[in-house]
Amino acid sequence: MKEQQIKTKDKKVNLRVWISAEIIPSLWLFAYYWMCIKHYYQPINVIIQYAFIGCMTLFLMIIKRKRDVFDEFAKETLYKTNTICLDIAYIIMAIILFNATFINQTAVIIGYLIAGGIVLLSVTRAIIFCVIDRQGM
Amino acid sequence: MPTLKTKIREYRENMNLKQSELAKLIGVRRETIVHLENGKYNPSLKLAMDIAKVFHKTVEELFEFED
Repeated sequence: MKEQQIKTKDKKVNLRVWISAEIIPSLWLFAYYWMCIKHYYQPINVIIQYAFIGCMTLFLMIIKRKRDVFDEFAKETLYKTNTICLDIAYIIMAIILFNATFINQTAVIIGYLIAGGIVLLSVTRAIIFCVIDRQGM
Repeated sequence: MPTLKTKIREYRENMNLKQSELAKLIGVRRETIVHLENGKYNPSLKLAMDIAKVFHKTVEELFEFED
């Protein structure tokens, strides 16, 4: 029983979980933008935002501290993932730019597109990392 | 292009080591050992030497290129 408890205590967070948890800040950015647009900084929203930032930072710090060994395979995988994501970011930004130029969107919609693009990018980053980590290079 | 062939699995099984145990000895994740054994990842020279040290072999004995 004691051995089992020690095993559970020492259990490391898988790198796939860690990279997936990094989606949360991008979701917060989207929610923050939505709150700014809809509610114009009402005090209650500011309290919620600070509380959420605190919890999110704490959660990410704990996960980062307890994550598995960040070895050379993981480093190479992350490097490859970030390279692919840079290309995807380029495409997303180009789409937003053309959208703003030709369809003549409002600033609010463009803001939503950028926030959505960040979410999309972080989700794609997590998926690509998980796939490469599972299947190898 | 020549592919890297490894004898890690063979030596590991001879030493009755699990993948997780070998990973712990070298200081990498179990996934890295899995990909190394399946030939899906080419290790750095340092990692290759660390693995060779565990098995008391040379890097040449552990890895070879195959056309």
